[in-house]
Amino acid sequence: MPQQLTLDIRPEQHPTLENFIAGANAELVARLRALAQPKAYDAVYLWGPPGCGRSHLLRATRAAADSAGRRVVLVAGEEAGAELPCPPGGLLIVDDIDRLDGTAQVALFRAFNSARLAGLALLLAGAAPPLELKLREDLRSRIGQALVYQVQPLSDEEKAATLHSQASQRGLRVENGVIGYMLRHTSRDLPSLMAVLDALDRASLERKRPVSVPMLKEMLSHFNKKPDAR
Amino acid sequence: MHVRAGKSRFNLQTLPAEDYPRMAQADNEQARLQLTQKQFKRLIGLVQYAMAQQDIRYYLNGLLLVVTGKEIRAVATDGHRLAYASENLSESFSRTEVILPRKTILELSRLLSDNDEALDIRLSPNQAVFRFGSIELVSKLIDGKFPDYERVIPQNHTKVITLSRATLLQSLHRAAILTNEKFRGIRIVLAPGSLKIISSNADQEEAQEELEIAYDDEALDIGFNVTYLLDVLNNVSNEEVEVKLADANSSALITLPGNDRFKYVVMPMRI
Repeated sequence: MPQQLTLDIRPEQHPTLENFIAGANAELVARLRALAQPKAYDAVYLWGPPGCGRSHLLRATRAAADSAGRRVVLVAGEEAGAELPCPPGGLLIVDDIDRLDGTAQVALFRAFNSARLAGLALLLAGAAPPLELKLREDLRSRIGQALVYQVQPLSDEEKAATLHSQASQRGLRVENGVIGYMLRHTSRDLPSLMAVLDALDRASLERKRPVSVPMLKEMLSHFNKKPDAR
Repeated sequence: MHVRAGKSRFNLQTLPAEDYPRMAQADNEQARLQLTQKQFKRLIGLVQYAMAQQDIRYYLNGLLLVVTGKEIRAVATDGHRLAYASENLSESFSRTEVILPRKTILELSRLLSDNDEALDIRLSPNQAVFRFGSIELVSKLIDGKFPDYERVIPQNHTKVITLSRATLLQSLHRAAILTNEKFRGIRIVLAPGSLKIISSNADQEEAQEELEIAYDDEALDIGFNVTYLLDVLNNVSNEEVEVKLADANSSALITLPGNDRFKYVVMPMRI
C-alpha cells in the first residue's frame, strides 16, 4: 500500500521539571528544582527501573540549572572516562552509574571528595538502590550517604493523565477509549506508551484520520508482526 | 412581520433583536496594516490550498499570518505539504503571529477583488478585522501553536531542475488519469537530460510522460501524490518553476526562479 510521508511538524518537546508528571515523586521533583539553583551543594542519587523517568528528570534538571545560570554537565555512565568535568560551583549529573567502568568509578569517587571544596553539586542515577550497586565499595558507600530517592512509578490514572497532556500539547484530540485501550493492551511503561502515542500521531497525520481505537488496534497488530519495525 | 405582495400574504415570526449574538470588538490591537486587496488576495491564493480540511490538529485547519519587520507572511500546511508566501509592507512592525480559520480565508478570497483598493487589517490576540470596500469581516483566531515552518523548508537540496510550468502541468494532468483514485501516486524518474512521469492503476493500465530537461546529476526515482503537485502548479502563475530534490525519502522544494517570496514543500509518497 502506498505510504504518504509526512512533514516534521510536530512541536519540539524538551523534558522539563514542569512537564514531568510527578505523581508520588513530588518531593523528589522539588529537591531537583532546588538542586538546580546556584548555591545548592547536595549529592542526590535517584534510582528506579528503566522507563521510570530517570533520564527525563536528569535532562530536565540540566535544563533547569541552565536557565538558573548554573554551570552544568551531564555525562552518560558508559561514556565517562578517567576525567569527569567538575565545574566549580556547578552541577555534575551522571546517568547510569551502574555502567561506569573502573577508571570512571575512581573519577566519580574523586568528584565526591572534592565536591564540598569546589562547591559542586552531584546528581546521579542508576537502576538499583545503593546496596545493590556493583561498584567499588568506597564509591558505593559515598553514594549511600547521598540523598537517595527511588523514582516511584506512576499509577495508571497518572499515566493516562500524562498521555492526555502529551496529546494535547501536540494539538491531538484523542478519541475516548484510546488511552484506556493503550493502558490495557500495550506495554505500560511510559516510554513504550509514548512511542505508541508517537506512532498514532504519525499515522493520523499520514492518513488524515482521527486517532481511534480501530487505528490503534491495526497499528498494534502491525507492531506485533514485526516487533523491530521501528 | 407581515409581507404582502399582490395577492400573497405572509405572516412571519420574529425574535427580539437583543438576542442576536454580538461580537465583542477586541480593544487590544497589536498591529494595523494596509495592503491593496489584490496583494492580499494573491498572498492567500498562493497558500490556501495547502490548508488541512478537517484535521484533529485544529491549528492545521487554518492559515498562519506572520507580520514581522516590513513583511507579511502566509503559511499553510496539512502535514503532507506546506506553502509559504510573503509580501512587502510599507511600514515596519514588531513580530505578530495569528492563525486564521480556514473558513475566514475561503470567505476572504471570495470577497476580495483583484484591484488596488485598500484593505485594512487589524490584528489583536484573539481577533482579526478586515475592512475593504463596504465590507467589515471580523474573525476569531485559532488558538494553538502553528508548526515551525522554517524547520520544514529544506535549505540544501542539490538536485535542481527548471521546468516550464504549463508543460509540467499538462503532463501531470494526463498521467493523473491513470493513478489509483485513492492514493493518486505517480513516480517521477529523473535521469540526466530527462524527467519521466509514470503512473499506473489497479487495472494494470500505465501512463508515461517524458520531458527533456537540463539535468546532469544522479538519477532519482521518487513518488508523489499528484494532487499536491497539480495544486501548486495551478495556483502559481509563473512561466517556469524550479524543483529541488535530495533523495526519495526527502521533501521536494518548489520555488519560482528569481523569487524567494514563494516556497512549496511536498513530502514524497512511497509507492
